[in-house]
Amino acid sequence: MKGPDIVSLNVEVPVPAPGEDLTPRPLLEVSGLTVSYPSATGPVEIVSGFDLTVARGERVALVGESGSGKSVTARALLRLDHRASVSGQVRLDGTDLLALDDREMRAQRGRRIGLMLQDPMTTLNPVRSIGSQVMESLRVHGVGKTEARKRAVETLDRLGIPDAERRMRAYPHEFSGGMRQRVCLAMAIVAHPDLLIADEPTTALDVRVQEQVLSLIDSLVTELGMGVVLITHDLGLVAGFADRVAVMYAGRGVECGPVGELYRSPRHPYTSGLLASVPRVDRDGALAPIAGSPAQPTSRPGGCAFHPRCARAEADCTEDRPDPRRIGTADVACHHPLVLAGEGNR
Amino acid sequence: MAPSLLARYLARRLALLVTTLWGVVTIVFLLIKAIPGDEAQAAAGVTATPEQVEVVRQRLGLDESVLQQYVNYLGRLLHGDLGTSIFTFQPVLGDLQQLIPYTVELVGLAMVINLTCGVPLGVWAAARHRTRTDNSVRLAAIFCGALPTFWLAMIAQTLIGRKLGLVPISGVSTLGVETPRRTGFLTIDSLLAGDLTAFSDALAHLVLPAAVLAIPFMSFVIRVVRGSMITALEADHVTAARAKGARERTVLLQHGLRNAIAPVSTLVGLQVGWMMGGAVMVETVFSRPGFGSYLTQAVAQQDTFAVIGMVLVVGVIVTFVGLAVDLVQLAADPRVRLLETRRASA
Ligand SMILES: Nc1ncnc2c1ncn2[C@@H]1O[C@H](COP(=O)(O)OP(=O)(O)OP(=O)(O)O)[C@@H](O)[C@H]1O
Ligand code: SF4
Ligand SMILES: [Mg+2]
Repeated sequence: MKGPDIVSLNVEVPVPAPGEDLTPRPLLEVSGLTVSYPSATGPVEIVSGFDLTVARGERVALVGESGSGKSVTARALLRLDHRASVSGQVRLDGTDLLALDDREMRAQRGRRIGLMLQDPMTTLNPVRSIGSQVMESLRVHGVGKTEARKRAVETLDRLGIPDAERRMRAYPHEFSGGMRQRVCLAMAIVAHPDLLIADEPTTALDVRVQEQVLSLIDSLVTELGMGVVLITHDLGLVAGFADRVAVMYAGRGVECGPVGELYRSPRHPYTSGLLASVPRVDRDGALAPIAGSPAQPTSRPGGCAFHPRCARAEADCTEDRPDPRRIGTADVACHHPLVLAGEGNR
Repeated sequence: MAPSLLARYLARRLALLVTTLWGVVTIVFLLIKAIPGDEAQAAAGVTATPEQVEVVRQRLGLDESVLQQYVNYLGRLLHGDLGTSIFTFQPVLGDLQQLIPYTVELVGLAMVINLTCGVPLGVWAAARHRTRTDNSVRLAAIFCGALPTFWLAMIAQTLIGRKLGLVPISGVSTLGVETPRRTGFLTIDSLLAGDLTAFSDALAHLVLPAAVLAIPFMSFVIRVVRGSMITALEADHVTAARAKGARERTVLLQHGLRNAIAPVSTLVGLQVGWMMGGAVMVETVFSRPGFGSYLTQAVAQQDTFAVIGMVLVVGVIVTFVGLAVDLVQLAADPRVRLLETRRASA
């Protein structure tokens, strides 16, 4: 699993006991996740009944336009926002995260789930050294100073920070955007979590650095056997990275399926619209951005939230909210999904 | 910061310090020259004959040109000669040396009370931002800031001193409690002599005026700590720290208060100067020797050299406090270090 020049990250690979059920239990099971925030006019539901599963070693991309609730979902999974009220089910390796008390939840954060926040420029504390911030991920879980330092240096080194030992003493402003992003990644994975949630880890970076960061995450998944949720609004980016894609619109999952299928034959009109607006190497033709603007949480249309922008909308779309159902390999929440020639109509 | 750069920084700061003091001295000199009336007449006293006034004029060098007087004045200052008080007939420096410890003790304890109460209250309010606790602390802070020191002193004397009889309300020590003077600081000298009775006596005399002096200043500390902490706590690195699994206490101190050190130290630096001013009033009400009594007398008696001496000493203290604040910021904020490094190497 490791080449000679790769630092061992000491992963314990679970060995199934004889006779154990070998169908893998998903690492993360989210069902019916609903998140609302208080506002002057009462609670506003940002995420409504969102489902997601991630297996060990699986790379799942969570895609959606700006404001669709991706970051809110990520923070809700770790219960980071005490102002948000979170309901539904979040199971990590069978543990119901929403049922844990504060202390138990803290033990999960960082150690079981690593979160890489959206903006590398603000995720690092400007007045504390890089080293202390990476070490903090271990120190808060009771790892001793010497050990934490050793592992922080190893991880920074593994993530391609040159002269990591010395750079531990540096401060965030002394790092470029790409280097900061690596430090943020180091903070998220230094405690070897089972699940990494990376919120737009590449948005602020130029294309070359984007690729470097993605391939780092990619190799970590293999090396550590982590599951990854990669949050992005860039469908083009996930094609080469993800095993599965979950598409989010206005706080709801609209389509979720294997990346190849989803690219080849999107079922949900929103997914197909998104794909049409992404430049692709395998296809010529003009880009077609989706008409209209995303639904705001405070004024989401009833029925299917996408209906004002949807070319396939019919009368039922304005009244009934479509629930996800299995079509082929994907789960699709749409009354009138796109169907392939030869496939039976609804 | 590299040692050589630090040395250069210190050299630059000391040069600035000398320039500032020179400015203070010059302004004081010009102010005296601008006061209408004959200095020689004032020094000789109203009852002096014209001949006596002339003798004094020559002795003080007031018959020379203004420029020559200025040069003489600077020369004397450099030798630590602040002139002779026309009221006590003692060298001003000697008088001040006796009085400085009383005021420094008062301001010192007031600052300790100010910070040990103000900082935790500010942190507490910030941690409970937008709750009833926060609102009460904030209201209390605004209220404290609006209390006139004079009135507060009288109330404290009446309530705590006379009614409850908890602590003495005037002077610096009880008659009969003697402390061998070494540093001039009663608290320090009594400890050096191993005399705990004298120490607690000195402290008892000190605590009420110090508390009275501290209260209006606490108001600002609470508000600045609260404000800068709230700003710091909204930053992404705080969410990142929580995502690592950090406890709330760690988050508050390492990612909130740690980032508030710079603004708070700026405020505290300014407050030292203001407190010296406030001490004049408090010392008068509590009948304590110190800058207050000396300055009141000096002004009433038109005691020029005494006034100059006072202004100089306060100027020196405030300037050195400013240097200390800058060094604290240099230690606390790497961005300040960066700025200074750039300047030092420019
Ligand atoms: N703390 C909060 N309180 C109230 N509303 C919030 C809060 N955080 C986010 N929202 C709202 O939730 C909605 C979704 O925000 P979110 O940050 O999850 O979007 P996103 O999908 O991550 O978008 P982007 O691609 O821009 O990061 C937005 O309308 C936002 O205004
Ligand atoms: S449910 Fe109706 S409006 Fe919504 S995406 Fe499907 S067809 Fe369009
Ligand atoms: Mg986001």
